[in-house]
Amino acid sequence: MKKLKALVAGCLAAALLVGCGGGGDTASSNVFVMAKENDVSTLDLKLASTGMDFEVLNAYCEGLVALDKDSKVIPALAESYTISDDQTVYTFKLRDAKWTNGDPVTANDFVYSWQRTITDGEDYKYFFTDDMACIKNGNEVYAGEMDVSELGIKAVDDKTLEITLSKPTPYFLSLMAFPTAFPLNQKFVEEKGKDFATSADTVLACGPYVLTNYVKGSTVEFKKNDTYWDAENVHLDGMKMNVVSDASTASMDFESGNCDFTKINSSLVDKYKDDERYSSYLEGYLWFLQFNIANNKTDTPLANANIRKAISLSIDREDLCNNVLKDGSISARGFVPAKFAFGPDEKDYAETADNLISNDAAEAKKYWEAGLKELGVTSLELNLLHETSDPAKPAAEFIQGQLEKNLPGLKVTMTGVEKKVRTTKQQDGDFDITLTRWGPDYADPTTYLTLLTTGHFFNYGNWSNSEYDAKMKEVGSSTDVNARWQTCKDAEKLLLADGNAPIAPLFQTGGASLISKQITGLESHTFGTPYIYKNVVKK
Amino acid sequence: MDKSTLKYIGKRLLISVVTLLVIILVLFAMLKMMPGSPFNPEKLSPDMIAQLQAKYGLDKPVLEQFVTYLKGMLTGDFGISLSIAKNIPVMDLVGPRIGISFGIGIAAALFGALIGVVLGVTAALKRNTIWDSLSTIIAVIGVSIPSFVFALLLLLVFGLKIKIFPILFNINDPIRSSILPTIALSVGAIANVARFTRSEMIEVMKSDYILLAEAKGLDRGTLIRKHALRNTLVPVITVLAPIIINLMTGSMVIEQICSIPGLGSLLVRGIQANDYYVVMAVAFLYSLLYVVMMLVVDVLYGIIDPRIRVGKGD
Amino acid sequence: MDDIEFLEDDFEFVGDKQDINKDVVLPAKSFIKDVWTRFKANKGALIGAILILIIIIMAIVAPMLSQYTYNMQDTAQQSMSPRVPLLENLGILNGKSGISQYTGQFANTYHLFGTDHLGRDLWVRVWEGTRISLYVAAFAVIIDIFIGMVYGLISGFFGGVVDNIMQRIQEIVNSIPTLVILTLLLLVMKPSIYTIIIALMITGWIGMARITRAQVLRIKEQEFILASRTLGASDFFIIFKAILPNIFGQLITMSMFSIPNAIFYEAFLAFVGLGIPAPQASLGTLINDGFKTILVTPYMVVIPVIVLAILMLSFNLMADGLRDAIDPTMKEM
Repeated sequence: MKKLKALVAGCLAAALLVGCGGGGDTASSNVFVMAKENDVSTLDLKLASTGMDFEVLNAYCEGLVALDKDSKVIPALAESYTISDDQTVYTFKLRDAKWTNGDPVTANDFVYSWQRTITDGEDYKYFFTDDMACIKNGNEVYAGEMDVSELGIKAVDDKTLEITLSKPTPYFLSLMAFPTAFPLNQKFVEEKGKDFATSADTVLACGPYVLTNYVKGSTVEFKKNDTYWDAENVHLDGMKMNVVSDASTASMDFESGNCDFTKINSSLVDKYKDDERYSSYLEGYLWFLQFNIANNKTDTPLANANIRKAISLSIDREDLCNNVLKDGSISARGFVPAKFAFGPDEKDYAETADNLISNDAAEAKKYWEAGLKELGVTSLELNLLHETSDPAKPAAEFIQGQLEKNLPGLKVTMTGVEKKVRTTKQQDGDFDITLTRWGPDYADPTTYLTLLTTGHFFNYGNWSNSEYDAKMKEVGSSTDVNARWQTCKDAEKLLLADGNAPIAPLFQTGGASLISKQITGLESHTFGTPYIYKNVVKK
Repeated sequence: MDKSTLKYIGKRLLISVVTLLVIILVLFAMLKMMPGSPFNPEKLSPDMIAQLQAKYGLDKPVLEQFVTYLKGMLTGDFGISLSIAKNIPVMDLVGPRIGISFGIGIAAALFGALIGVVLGVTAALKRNTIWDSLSTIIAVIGVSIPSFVFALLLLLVFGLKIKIFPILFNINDPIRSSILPTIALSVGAIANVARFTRSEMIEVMKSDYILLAEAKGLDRGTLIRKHALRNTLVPVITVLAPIIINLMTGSMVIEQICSIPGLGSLLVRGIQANDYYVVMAVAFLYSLLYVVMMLVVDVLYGIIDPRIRVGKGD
Repeated sequence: MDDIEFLEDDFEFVGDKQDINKDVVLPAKSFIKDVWTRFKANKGALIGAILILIIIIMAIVAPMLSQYTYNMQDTAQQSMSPRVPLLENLGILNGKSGISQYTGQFANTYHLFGTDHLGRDLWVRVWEGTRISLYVAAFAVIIDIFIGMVYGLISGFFGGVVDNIMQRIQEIVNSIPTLVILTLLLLVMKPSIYTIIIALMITGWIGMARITRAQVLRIKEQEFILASRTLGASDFFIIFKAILPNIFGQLITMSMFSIPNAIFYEAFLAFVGLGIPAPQASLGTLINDGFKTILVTPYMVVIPVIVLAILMLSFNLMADGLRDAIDPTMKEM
């Protein structure tokens, strides 16, 4: 027993002794330390798909253009560009930028990178097709019907890049800031072969920072890139991203002073909402309920427009955003989120479009009863498919409560699953109502509106309306930017009008976060790269 | 080692190998039954998913995939990650994490065993006193407070309030940043070991040879140390093997909370992302460890006490 | 020896021979009564049993008597901390630390355990959740008996090839890490009480099967079984009439011990996402949901953890007492 006691005492003493040593890394130096919920899934831009991948890519690499803090296009690796009269040929003039191995960034670096991605890419392989950037022959090369050299990108000389589009695309320029469009140094990639982009040593930087350390599942570290063309405007010495999957832990890490920036969940908002370190960004994700209208060609109860309308009307979105989510989420006004698409008039699409969403429990009940009568039933049981992570879980529970309270005779059963299972179930049509979301691929309303055209693979509810399809086709072929913008608004109005509304838009997510008072210049975006760190200053 | 012992070990080894094979098959089948794919269906059309499936050979018949996988495994190739660290060999992901997880798991098991034995012995020697009840209560609270709650409390107190330990795991300072998670992890083990030790100790103290030693006039300290404790600890070691393994698996929750880049958190992320080969490798590793541990314990026990052998009852 | 000197009163007459031969006959006690007497004498066990009884009653009655229901949402009353009449005057549990306050229209409202993020009364939810934990406990016993016991009986009694195969199966099931089974289940199944039961079924029976088999092996070799067999008893008769009654006590105790494990298992399942679907709650899902807000509203996790701990402690105490009462010589498991 004595030995045991001595051993225990020894262990504790040793533990305390170790505990008292060194202060660990602090956020006190000129290094921007962040806690991130997810790890980087890849450093290779042909595979990159998550927000975190894009943030890392954007920190060490750059595109032809970049987005400023208001999501307006500003020059980056290209110092200027010209657009042909028919709006289909863009000619970029590159500036004298360098890779960290000393090579200059040339037009060919872009050609190589694009050709590499469209032949061997994954999630964003379709970037070059008419679903996104509308590059000439993009569809054909993607489908393997044409050789990759036919893709509409050409290096005229080392510093001149010519890109040809398949049709005028108003949002094309902003897409050139998307990480999938970034360049790659061919020599370096081929030299590294299979090892390319597997570690910090096997990537090459041309952006504001250089990757110095990457421990999978744990940390990503950067230092300032002294050879960056705009190095004088980069004020940080470095950055460090720690992967912290638990929000409570992340907030404690922030409190302890070891971290400058972290996202927090809605429950922590209560604690911090009056704190001056609290801030909230608007994200591009729009959450909505999608109704399964036809399953295996037979109509479901949700084919009844009154039932759908009743469900949409019965949810108090303000209550949901302000009292349940509390993270700065805002109630949806339509199917296109706010502060992400700017029209020819430079104004926010969502602001100038009509508000198409309303909450009215009494009205909902009327539609509900009318709907039940048409169906010839007195009660309904519907299943709500949702994922179990925030904000879907609290939102789904709230929606269930609202529906059952406001619509007598409705029973809502819940299926809470992982996100990948949710999306698979959606594809299989295995749901009544699903709480789903869409993040924009590019800054234009069509990234949302085309989802509900007949036969579109993300139209999980199999809704079909020829008038709407015609409108969307008109948008696709329109050459007059002003008319096109108006047609988008008309289409959206039609989509959510009585008798249609195959979806019920709910809210646009907010990113509640804690940011140290020392930090300024952090820019957030509703599409593409969520956060851009180039202009961050730490005082 | 006599011939029958060797034969026994051989037989036991064979059973282990078969067990492992079955586990691989079951795991593989179950993984294939998982809904969803490793690719992100939120943004990919069914067409594109099919293309990717073909690219990674996931469109082939399950049996063919299984054989390919098994062949790869024999040469040490556990496939590549399809989602969480795209195109990176699974072994590169798993490798650096083994040390971290096992280190914490073993440290927690040893710490848990130590405290557990002390608690259990105290309870047994002072049976039916307040100490006994106290140690029972500590043991039950230990198993009923979820370790993740305990972990967060430790972080709150020792990481945030009294800043003696870091909140996040730090790869450059693994020992110091492992202490809190280790303690949190060991709570369950303390409880289990304490209960088991207590009952073993009571049993031993009632046995004839202790009575004899007592009658010989041995002083109580020597009696407990030399006779009782030693005989109590042998069976305690047998419960330790599963506890160590449980700790390594149980660490998955703690790893999430303390953001430790270990096997548990890798498994969680692999499952969430349907990253087949990552899940397969981690799960296989756990099973391998478990089977090997059981084998070692069994063989050791078979050598110590030839009566306890496979097929002859527990 | 030589020094000893015998005195006159060294030896005494012990009494009448007839007295010696007289047997003191105690009234015969049935086994059950015997168990009950010993159980009663064990204070811990008695406390455990009483606590369990109280918890069961609360789980049934509390939700019925409350004016709230488990799924009634009111965001105006969200995250209110516990407020208990009388105690509030002492400055504890006065409901002041929550997000929403007991002011204005809620000045006379009492949420004994507070409310959650959607304004649901936690008093009702905790007791509803306890009910689920009790269901799980009941199922754990049923599974133990119907799967574990039967498996162990067959394996132990028939021996030979049957035993060998059954043991290998058991070993294999046992060597897949529980966590892997669970998480795979999680992906293949919907979260519901049935999933929890299935998860229990997959692994819950192993301990019981092992104990049963060991006990059967012990009993099987005894003479009375041999006698019974010689007399021509069928296998069925031997298993159910000769073996089972002899080991039933231990098995009951064993299954009592599996209850706290099962209850905790449910809480663990909730953590990996296999809990009861909303808006229902179990202690596991309550702890899990409360955990997310532990830094802001700690009572949301503290209260269900306390209930869980008391429930587990009580079952443990009761099982301990029962074991001592049924078979005082039995080793703890």
